[in-house]
Amino acid sequence: MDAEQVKLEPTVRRWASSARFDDDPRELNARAELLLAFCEFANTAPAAIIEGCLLADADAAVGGQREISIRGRREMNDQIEAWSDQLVGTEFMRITAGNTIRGFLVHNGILIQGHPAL
Amino acid sequence: MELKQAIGSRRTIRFFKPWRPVEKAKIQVILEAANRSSRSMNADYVKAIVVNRDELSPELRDTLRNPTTSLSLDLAPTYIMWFINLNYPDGTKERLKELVDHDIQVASQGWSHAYVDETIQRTVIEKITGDESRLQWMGAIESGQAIAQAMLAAVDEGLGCALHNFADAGIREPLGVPDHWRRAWIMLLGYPLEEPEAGGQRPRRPLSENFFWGDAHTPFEDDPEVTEQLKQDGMIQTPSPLPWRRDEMRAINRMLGLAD
Repeated sequence: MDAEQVKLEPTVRRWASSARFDDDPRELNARAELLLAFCEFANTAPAAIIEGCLLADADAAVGGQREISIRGRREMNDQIEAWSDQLVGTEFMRITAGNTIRGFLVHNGILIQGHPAL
Repeated sequence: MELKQAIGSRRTIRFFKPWRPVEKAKIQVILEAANRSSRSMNADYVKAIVVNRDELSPELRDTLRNPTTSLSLDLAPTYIMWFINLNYPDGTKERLKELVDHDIQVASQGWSHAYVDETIQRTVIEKITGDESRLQWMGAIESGQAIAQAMLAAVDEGLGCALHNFADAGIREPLGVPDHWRRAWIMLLGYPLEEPEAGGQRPRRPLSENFFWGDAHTPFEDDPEVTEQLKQDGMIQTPSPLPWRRDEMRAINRMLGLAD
């Protein structure tokens, strides 16, 4: 998968639309590159990131609603943290990159909070 | 600040200036406001522990986090952890006799030392202590009144505040929280990083939807003149959305490196 393919992913299009950067090609490219980098680090794909934060149990999907997996979300957050920690750059840049991936989760229905760059 | 202005200006503040501490004198004002709240039996329903963020070890602070509170814990310089004291009926008889002695609870309304000494235990106190749901219900209502007054005092002191759920399992032992203190809310305190309007006054349904006159079928009708006066007094303020709110959030998110 490359950045162009990432941009076509439904979860990414949903992210771009919800966060209102779908009409800003530079922003879309930059975020898609970050998401791709995270996917490569975690050996995963955009849709799988979201799925990993949801309960897989069929009973968890009721009336179109899914249930967040507390453990899955925590593990994903740890992976985001590990990924951003090993990036080259300033602390601000690394924290922002991690929070960008969290934004991808948020706009796909996974409530998660990062930490600020202070 | 006038009371109506304080009521109208209160918001849940989600972005605090992490670098600016809250003065201890302001904390005292907030606690005193809670201490002055209405409470049945003159009991002490609410307990609170005040901690400054930077005085907690990072490990202990991490134990407070939950998915919806994590970010604000990093930003707010001061936390007030509110608890419901489930031993609040203790000492009720002594406190009530004090009120009888002070001519606050008076005979014309049925109060006497004899009532307190001889019948209130079985008639009232054991009804509360023997019924877990009643014990908790009363504790929650009366604690809520105290916390609400504390919030208005915070606004009056020029602070921002927010009530959140919090995870208390990790702090109970280190902070010496007794077993009979039940977690209520954590109040995050600090100077707002966002504008104090915090996006504008939240949408509320009209009075007629929730308040009634005479019976539960007759909606309360508000008087436009009173509404206008409340706008002038600051209780009713510019509603959300404010036109610049999205830009404000974008700027704050970029400043802090947060997701938007």
